[in-house]
Formats: sequence, C-alpha cells, structure tokens
Amino acid sequence: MSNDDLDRLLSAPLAEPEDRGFSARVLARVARDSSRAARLEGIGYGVAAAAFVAALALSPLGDVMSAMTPHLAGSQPVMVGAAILILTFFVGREFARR
Amino acid sequence: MSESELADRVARSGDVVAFATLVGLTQGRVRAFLLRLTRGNHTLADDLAQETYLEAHRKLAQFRGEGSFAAWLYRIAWSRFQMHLRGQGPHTDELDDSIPAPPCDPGGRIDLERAMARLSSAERAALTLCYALEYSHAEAARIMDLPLGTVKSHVTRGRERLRALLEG
Repeated sequence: MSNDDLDRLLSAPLAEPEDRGFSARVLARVARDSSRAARLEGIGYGVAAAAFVAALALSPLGDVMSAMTPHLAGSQPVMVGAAILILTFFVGREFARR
Repeated sequence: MSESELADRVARSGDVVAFATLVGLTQGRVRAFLLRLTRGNHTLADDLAQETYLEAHRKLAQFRGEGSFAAWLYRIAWSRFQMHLRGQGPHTDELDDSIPAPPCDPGGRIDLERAMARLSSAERAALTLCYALEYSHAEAARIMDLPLGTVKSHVTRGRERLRALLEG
C-alpha cells in the first residue's frame, strides 16, 4: 500500500452517527443537573446564613453588632456604599444576561 | 454565529438555545471520534459523549476561545475516555489481538475500522485527530495533553502498524 493510499484512507471523514434523540437526552440531563446544582446552592446559602446568625447570637459579637446598628443605620456613607453595592449587583447581572 | 460565539453566549448568560445549537452542531463529530476510540461500541461512545457535554456545560466559562470549540470538546472527550479506561483497570488499553485481522480488501472503511481497532487508543486518537479531523500535530498534542514528540511518534508508529495490518 503506497503512502498516498494510506493517507487517502486515513483522511476520509469519520462516519457521523445520526442524532436519534441524543441532543434531547443531553439537554434533559443538563437541565436536571442545573436545577439540582441551583437547589444545592440555595441550601448552601441557607445553611451559611443560619450558621452566621447562630454565631452572632451565641458570641459577644452579637452584642457589639446590636450596639453598632443604630449608628450604622443613620450613617450616610454606609447607606451610599450599600446602594452602590446593590446597584453594581443588578447592573452586573443585567450585563451578563445580555 | 460561529461555534465559539455560541459558546461565549452560553458561558455569559446560560443561553439554553445557544447550548442546544452547539450540541446539535457538534454531536456527530464528537460521537464519531468517541466511536473510533471505543472500537465501535455505540453505547459506550454515547455515554462518554453525554458526559463530555455535561462537563463542557459546567466548564464553559473556562473556554477562552483559544483554538476551536470543537477542539476543546475533543479534549474533554479524550480525557473522559481515558478516565473510563483507568476505571477498567490495568491492561485495558493494550493492543487488542483478539479482534480479527482485516480481510484482504484494503481501502474500505470497514477494513480501516477493524485495523484501527487493533491499535492502541493513543495511536487511534492521534491518527484520527491528525488525518480525519485535520488537526496539526501541535493541535493534536494540545487536545491529548501530550508532548508534541509523543504525538508524532504515535502517528508514525500507528501508520506503520496500520499499513502492516491492511496489507495482511
């Protein structure tokens, strides 16, 4: 067999199988995995928030925080900072969606 | 819209329609590649292809557009196939002499597939990437995550073994 014959044989395009529902099965699994991941993420955030609140309630940090809260709530720089954070979050999300 | 642009869109916004389009555009090539790696085992090739797309969907943000999207998919497919081989235990990738030698009709697709099945998986992958899928040796080395010299020797050795098998 010559080099050219071998090259020609090897260079023949692969025979591609027909879809026959393969793409649909992949998309269904992706959707299932995504919703499971979102659920787990939600549970993770919930557990983290509960742990944070529990830590605050059980440690002296909780008393310090409650003493500071009235001052923080009335502070203009804190309010501006919080507004900027919230705005950045929503603008970032909208930008990513586009 | 190109495959890379579609991938970018999925990574940015999780666009399901764009991902469905990508799967539809590439599934034939990816499954054909895996079919050759698995020596024609359709069920295994489809399972590995499905795993490939799930991993691609999870890691799309890591696709930087260096090289084609298809090359990135082949890279994942090759790594999934290797994980499968490792799970099968040692010696699963040895040259398989139990597969019948191709009959004396060189030049046909069936003969090529039978002869290919008797090569090592690395030789099959290197030859398929460099000839049927038209990647350069350097691109094949990136896909297979091997040094360039190793891929070149897989191609040379695979070619010679294939020629010997096809000539009977």
